[in-house]
Amino acid sequence: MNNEYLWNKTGSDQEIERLEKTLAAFRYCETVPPVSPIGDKAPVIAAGDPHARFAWRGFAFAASVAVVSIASVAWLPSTAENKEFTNARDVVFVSGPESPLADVSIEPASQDIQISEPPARRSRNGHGKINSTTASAIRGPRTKDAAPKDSVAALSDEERYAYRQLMLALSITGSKLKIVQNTIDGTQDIDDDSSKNQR
Amino acid sequence: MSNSEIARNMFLFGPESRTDAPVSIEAHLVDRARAGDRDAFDDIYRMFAPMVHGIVLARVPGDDVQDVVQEVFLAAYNKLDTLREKNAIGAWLVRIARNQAAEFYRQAHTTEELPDEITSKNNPDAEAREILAAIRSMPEAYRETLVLRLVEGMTGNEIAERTGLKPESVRVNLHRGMELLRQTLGVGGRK
Repeated sequence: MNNEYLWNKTGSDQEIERLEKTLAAFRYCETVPPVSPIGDKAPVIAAGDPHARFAWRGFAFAASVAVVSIASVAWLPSTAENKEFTNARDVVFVSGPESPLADVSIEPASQDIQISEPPARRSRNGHGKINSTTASAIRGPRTKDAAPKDSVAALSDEERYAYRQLMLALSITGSKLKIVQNTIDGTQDIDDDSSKNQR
Repeated sequence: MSNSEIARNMFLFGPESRTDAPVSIEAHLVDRARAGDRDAFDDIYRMFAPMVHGIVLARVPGDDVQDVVQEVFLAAYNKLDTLREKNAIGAWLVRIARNQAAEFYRQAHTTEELPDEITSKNNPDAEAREILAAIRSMPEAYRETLVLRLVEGMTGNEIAERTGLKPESVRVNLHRGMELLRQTLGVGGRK
């Protein structure tokens, strides 16, 4: 037996070489390290948390809605060359938000209108009714609802078609966003149905 | 780091130079792995996997060896912070490998002998199994050293370096183990 070959493989020893060749079938074959090491600990999302896993889709929807809204705001004025349309739009913004007398039931100008305010307030003022001209002076002209129709009517056929498509897209996107929001919050449409029934 | 670079570094940091150099390549890799360097642990794996494989092969049936090797490195990864002597990671891995092999038998793994027709002399693996069985029947110090030398193809110096044993001990174990194997298989080995 060649001890030098046994120690550091220098020289030759047929017996040991044959043993090495025979036992080579058991030799280690390189494999991938078993652990996924230390640097991979951070980005793990819990598998049992579907809300966190799909939250990015909600953000994607919200971002797409925001982009569509900004694009519509930027696109509509540039396409509406009709002056009446811009005037009508101005009327919408001039009328502003609903006044405190928004729940006043509007009737023809010649008739008095009933104020649906608490009785205590009416008795304090000493007047159960107010003149419709006073209400209209406070509230301003009721042109808010009519303005979009007028503005749409002032558009050309192509612009009207684009406007309707845009409104439809916004409606669909809004409903889908609501579904996503309900999914994330864990609420169901049952809530909406029940609230409708209560009304 | 490639295997050749690892091997070159291993030779640069031999037993003699280890006392001169304050930080060996093993200790450097342990530091990096503890700091979260994935590549460093991969290098440790590539460097010591053949040695761990040999230690496990000296105890566990061949089909289960790779699984146990994986468990050894998994345990090592989880306990890396408990390693006190970073230069002695090889000896530390040897201890883990021995413990995992013992754990393998504690988990009531059963092995069945293959039929004679399968283990016939014409089967090229049959002779290898017989030689390996003869090595496994030897005392622990001999069988580990012989497996690392004859199966894994490591030299005496490499065995000493990676297991943390003294080269003199490895030399004695190799010589006596080889003599015992020759007696077991017959003078000159199997004919």
